Amino acid sequence: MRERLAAAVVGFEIFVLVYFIALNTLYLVFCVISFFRLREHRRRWTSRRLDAVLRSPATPGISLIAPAYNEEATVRESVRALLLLNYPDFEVIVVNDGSTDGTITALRAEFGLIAAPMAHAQPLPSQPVRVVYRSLSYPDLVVIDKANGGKADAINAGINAARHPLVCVIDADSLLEEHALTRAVLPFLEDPDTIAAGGIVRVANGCTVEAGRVSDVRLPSSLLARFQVVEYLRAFLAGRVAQSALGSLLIISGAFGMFRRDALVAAGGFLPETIGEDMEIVTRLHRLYRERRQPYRVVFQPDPVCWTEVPESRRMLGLQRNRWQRGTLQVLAAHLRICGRPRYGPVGLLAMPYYLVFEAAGPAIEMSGYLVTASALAFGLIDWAMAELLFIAAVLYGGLISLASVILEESSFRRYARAGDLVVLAGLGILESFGYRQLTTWWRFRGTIDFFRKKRGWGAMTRKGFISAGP
Amino acid sequence: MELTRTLLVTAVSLLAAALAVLFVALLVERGVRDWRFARTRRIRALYRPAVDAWYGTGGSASESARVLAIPRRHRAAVAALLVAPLEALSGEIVERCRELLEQLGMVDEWFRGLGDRRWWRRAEAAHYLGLARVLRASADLVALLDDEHEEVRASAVSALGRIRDPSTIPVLVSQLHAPRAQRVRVIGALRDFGPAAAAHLARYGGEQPREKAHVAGALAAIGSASVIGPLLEWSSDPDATVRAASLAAIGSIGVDDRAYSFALQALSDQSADVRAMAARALGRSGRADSADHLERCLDDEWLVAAHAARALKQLGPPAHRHLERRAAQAGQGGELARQMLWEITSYA
Repeated sequence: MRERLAAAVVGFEIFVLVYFIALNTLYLVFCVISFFRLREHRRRWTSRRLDAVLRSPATPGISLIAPAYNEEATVRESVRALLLLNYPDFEVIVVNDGSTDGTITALRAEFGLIAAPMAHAQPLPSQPVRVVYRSLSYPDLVVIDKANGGKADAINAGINAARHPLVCVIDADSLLEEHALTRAVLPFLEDPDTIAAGGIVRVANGCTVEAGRVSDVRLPSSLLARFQVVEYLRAFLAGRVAQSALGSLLIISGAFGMFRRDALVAAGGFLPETIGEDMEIVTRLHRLYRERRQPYRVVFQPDPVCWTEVPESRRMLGLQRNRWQRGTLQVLAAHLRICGRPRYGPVGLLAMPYYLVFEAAGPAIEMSGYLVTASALAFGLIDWAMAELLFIAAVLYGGLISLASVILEESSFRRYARAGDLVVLAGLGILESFGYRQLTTWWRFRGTIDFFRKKRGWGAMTRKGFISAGP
Repeated sequence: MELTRTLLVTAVSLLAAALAVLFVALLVERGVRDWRFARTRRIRALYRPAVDAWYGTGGSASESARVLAIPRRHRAAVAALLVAPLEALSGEIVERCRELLEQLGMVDEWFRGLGDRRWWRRAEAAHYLGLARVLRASADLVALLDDEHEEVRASAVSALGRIRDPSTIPVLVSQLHAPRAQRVRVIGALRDFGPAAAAHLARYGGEQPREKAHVAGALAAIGSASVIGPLLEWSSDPDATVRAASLAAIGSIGVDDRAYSFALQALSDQSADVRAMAARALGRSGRADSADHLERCLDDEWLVAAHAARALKQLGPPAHRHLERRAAQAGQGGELARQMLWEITSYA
């Protein structure tokens, strides 16, 4: 009996090992692909070439949509920073999604808003719009005050009011780079078949923020936030750049995404009932264009365009990861039929299987790996020395991927000016295997359970706020 | 079991070695970059006064001699400083700068760069030749429009726009809808040529009926009254897309008496897009006598109605009376009228 149990445990351990090697090797391949893509990208769009684009009369206008819910404390500065973006033709549409605090009052006072008649077409359904405000001082600012319906619903209301062919969806508390729109619009200029483009979201914790712009890039002081810096580098610079190169990009971050308005309208807009609305809309766009057999492109623009505050407390981070996991599972469940079908190209053959095996099933496999290993060690079913070797290999392989991501950052955008920051980031790639990785796996595992228990909702998030450069 | 252990130990050793190598590579990369960055900054700081003095004296002979005395190994950095202001300059100073760059040997260097195996060198060479308006580079730049790399082709397009060699207009026009060209850059380049490019474009549209809609779009961006005639002809095209694009271009360029009557007629077109563009053009005509027709459009499809309402707003007080009349009513027309009246009073 004991031998059989030991054989079963070893068999399971081998399965987990193969799974782990496959996941990390895949990421290593992503890193290699990204390295070449980023090198190409860096040489491609220098600032003087951006200028050529900005001078052209054919550069399209952009409607920037910022849904806001209870953002009273930060909304003034955020909107002011948005209005100062460097782009020839854009409007800012702030959608107040039924905030219960003084968001709308703050906006009215700051920008001299007055109620304007609402006369735009309503191709997408949304909760009733109460008032549309315009600013006399800022003609390109539109504020929509509507009944609460969630982020997706607010975005839909913004899309309805958008008057430009491109819409850029951001979070109201996102900090954009001055040339964010110029850089994000490039894929649409390169290829008119582009329907959506995402940009890199970076961690703003620890950075100095001046007039709504990140002026000094530094690592956060919180260890949790530091781990997330490495995670974001790995996810964006290695993961999404490579997925975009393979034509299998499924996520455009809700913090910053640019879309063709007509494509969003054709797809029916964002789905209000989803948690992972950013992944859902991209997946639906893929499906729509594949089924219509229309040429299209969904790409990732690796320039740093957007900075966001990440959670620094375990509770908030846990809520976030739980929500992300539920969102991923929700989207995968809704679009499962495209998985493995050649008709859907790389999305059906690469992206969906990847998300199913590594993102959806990952936490359950990893958690069971930890539990089985711990139990087997306790009952003497496997050798301690072997377990130690496996763990060291796992730590080193994980660290290698993280270090490769830091190198990608250093060889492309190099936003961390201090050499010490690089050393810290490289070290964090090793350190994250000692607790942080297990914690995130646990939160994601809880998210999986919550998904099957049909738990909905976002969970209340609180933010610490950015470090200001002073008055 | 022993084999597994041996394999694992080997894997751990390899991973540890790879980690160490990557870490060292990271630090070395940072060091090398910092050094190169500091060197470039130092060289630029060293020669910037000479370049500023050259521009300050309008390219005087003495300052030119000072620039020419700069060591050969630093000339590329100095050339970059010299061409940077050319982006916003024109006239004699550009010619002088080009002469100076020729004497520095940089123009020949850039010509050689056009054939470099590295695409970014080719793109950069094209960019600099364009900034320096090197007319004799036109043929080489035209050849570069077939380059395998997109950015090189785009740089060549922008450079040709800057050089403004009239003989290259037909080639640029043909690039307008070449699938491998960036339309934004081509239109930007054609606009640099002004009316000459517009006439070529109109002729091209006439010869390539399938391209008419795209050409009309480009004409709207370039804008030249000389092409109103062909655009009016295209506004009766059997293809609704062409009709709409032509009316849009007319609206952007300017509406004369003839165009006005065409636009009025187009308000009863079968296609909503055409009607919308006709309403837009009428709004830019300055002719308030079209207000009756536009007011009727307020009950049309939303797109047409929205353009008609905006047109009424643009046509001034006589047309505003039509808006006031409609503002008292319910429905789409009333809503749009109220919006326009609000904008008139708020943004006056």
